[in-house]
Amino acid sequence: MFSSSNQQEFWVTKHLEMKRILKNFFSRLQIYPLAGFVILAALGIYPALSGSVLHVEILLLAAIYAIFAMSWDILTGYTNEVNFGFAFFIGGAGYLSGACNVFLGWPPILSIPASAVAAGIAGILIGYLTLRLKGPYFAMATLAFAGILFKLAFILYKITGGEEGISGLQSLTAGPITDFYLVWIVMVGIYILLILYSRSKHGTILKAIRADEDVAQSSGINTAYYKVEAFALSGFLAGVGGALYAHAQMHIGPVMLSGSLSVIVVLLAMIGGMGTIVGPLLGGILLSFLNEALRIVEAYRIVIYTGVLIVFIYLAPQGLINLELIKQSPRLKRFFFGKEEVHGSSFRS
Amino acid sequence: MDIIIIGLVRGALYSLIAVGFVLVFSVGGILNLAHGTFYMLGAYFTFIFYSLIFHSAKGSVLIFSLILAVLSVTALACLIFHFLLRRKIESLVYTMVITLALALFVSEIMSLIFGVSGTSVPSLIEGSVSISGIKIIKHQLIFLPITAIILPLLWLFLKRTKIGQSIDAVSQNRIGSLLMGVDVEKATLITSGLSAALAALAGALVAPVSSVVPEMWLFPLIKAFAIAILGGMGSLPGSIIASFLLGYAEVITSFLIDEQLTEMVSLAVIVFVLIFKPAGILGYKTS
Repeated sequence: MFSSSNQQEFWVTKHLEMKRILKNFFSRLQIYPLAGFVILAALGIYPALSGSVLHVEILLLAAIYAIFAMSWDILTGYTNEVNFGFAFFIGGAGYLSGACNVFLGWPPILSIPASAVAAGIAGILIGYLTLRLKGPYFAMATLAFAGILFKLAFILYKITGGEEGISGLQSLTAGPITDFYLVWIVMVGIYILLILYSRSKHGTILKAIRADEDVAQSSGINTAYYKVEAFALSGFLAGVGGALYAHAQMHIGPVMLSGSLSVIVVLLAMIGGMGTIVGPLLGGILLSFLNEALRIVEAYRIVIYTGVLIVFIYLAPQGLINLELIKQSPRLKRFFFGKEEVHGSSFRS
Repeated sequence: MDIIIIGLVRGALYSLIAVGFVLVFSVGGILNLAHGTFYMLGAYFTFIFYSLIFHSAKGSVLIFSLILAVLSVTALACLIFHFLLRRKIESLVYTMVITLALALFVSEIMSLIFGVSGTSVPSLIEGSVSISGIKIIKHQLIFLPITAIILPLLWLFLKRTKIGQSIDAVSQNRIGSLLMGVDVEKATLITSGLSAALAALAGALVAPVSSVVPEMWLFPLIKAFAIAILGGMGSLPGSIIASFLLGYAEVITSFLIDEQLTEMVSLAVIVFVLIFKPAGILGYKTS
C-alpha cells in the first residue's frame, strides 16, 4: 500500500516533469514562424495528390529558387551587404558538379556535396577578400567575381562547352516525382537549418553587425569571423541548390552564371522580405509560380515578369512579409514571424 | 603606334561613360546600375529616329536624330529618377536593386522589339584613315574632339554656373548644402539627367562602329564601375585619368596577350583595386 502510493507519486512527478518539458519545447517552438512549415508541408503534399508531371516539374523549379533565395538571405538579409554575384556560387557549383559527373564519372551523391563544399570554400575566400568592403563596393565586388566566372565559362570552352554548356549529366533519381521529393527534403533541411541559425547566437550577432559594425566590434565580437561564416554558409547552400538544379535539368549552361540570375535571386528575396528566411521562401515559390503561369504568353514572359517584379519592389520595398497588413495583425505577425523571443534566450548558443 | 591611338579612342569613350556614373554617385549617392542602359538606349534611339522615323540617308538627319536620342534618354532618366528613385534615395539596396531590375527590363523589351541579333546605324563619316600603316575607322576618331569639347564644358558648368556650383556643393556635403538653401532635389535631378545624357551620347556615337544589341548595357556598366573605383569614387579628374588607363590596359591586353581577355581587365581591376586600395588613385572618400 505504502509503496504503491510512493510509486504513484513518482509517476505523477514524472508525468508533470514530462508535461513541463513538452510545454517548454512547444513554447520554444513557437518562436519559429509557422508560415514556413505550412508552405513546406503544402509543397510536399501537393505532388502526392496531383501526380501531374508538369506540376511536379514546376514545383521542383520553385523549390530550387526558394533554396537560392533563402541562402542569399542568410548573408544579405542579416548583414545588409548586398551580394549581387550569387550566380558565382550557383553556377560555379553547377559547373563543378557537372564536370565531376560527366568527365570523372562521379555519381550525383558524390559530386553534389563535393561541389557544394567547394562553393563554401569559395565563400570563405571571397568573404575574406571582401571583408572590408561595404555598400556599393561590396555589391560590385561580388558582381565582378561572378562576371569573371561567367567570362571564364566562355574562355575555357573546351571544358565548359562555351555557349552550349555541359549536357548529359546523370539525373538525380529515377523519376520526376522522386527528384522533387529529394529536392523537397533538401529544401526543408535548409529551411530548418537557416531558421535555427538565424535564431541562434550567430544570427543575433549578424543582426548586431547590421545595426552597427563598430559597436559590435567594440563589444568584443569578432565581426570578421561571423561575416565570413555567413558568407561561407550562404555559398555552401547556394552550391547545394545549384548542383541539384544542374542534375535535375541534366544540363548546365552559362545562364546559371549570368548576371540576370543573380538579379532574379536578389529580387525574389527582396520581394519576399529580406532578413526573415520565411519571406524569401515565400517569394521564391510564389514568383516562380508566376513565372510559370506567364508561359501562356511565352514571347512576352520575361518582359512581363521583370516588369511585375519592379512593380512589387516599388509598392512594397520592404517585401511582402513586412507589409503593414501583416505587421498590424498580431495573428498574422505571429504566423509569419513567430512569437517574439524573451530577451536573453537568443544568446544561448 | 596603333596601341596609342586605339587606347586614346577607347579612353575618350570610357571617360564619357564614366564621368556621368561618378557624378551621379557623388551627388545623389545613387549607384546607378541602369547607367549602361542609358548607353544602350542612346544607341537604340539613334537607330529608331534615323532608320524608322525619318527614313533619310542624309548626314544632317543622322546628327539631328543623334541629338534627339540624347535628349529623349535624358528625359527618360529624369522621369525614372523622379518616379522611381527619389522616394527612397537614401536606401542603397533599394536604388541598386530597382536600377538593376530596370536594366534587365529594358534590355528584355529591346530584345523583344528588335530581336537579339542587333541592328546598326551608319557612320557620321564613312571610310577609314591609315596612320603610319594602321587602318583606323574614321568614325572612331570623332570621339576624341567630342570628348575634348564635352569634358571641359562640363568642368566649366560645374565650377562657373550657379546650378553647377550647387551640384558641386551637394556632392561635397549633402546636408550642409541643404542647410545653406541649395535645392538638393533639383541638383540631383539635373545630375541624373546630365549623366544619362553623357551615357546616351557615348552610346549613340558608338552605335555605327559596334553592333547595337540588347546585351550592350552590361559591359559599359562594369567598365564605368571599374573606372570609378580606380579613379576613386567621387573624383571626376580621377575618373578621367582612370578611363584612359583602363583603355590602354585593355588595348595592351588584347594586342599582346589575347583578345578574349579584354573584358576580364575591368573585372580584374575592380577586384584588385577594391581589395588592395579601396580609395582608388585620386579618391578622397573612403567608405
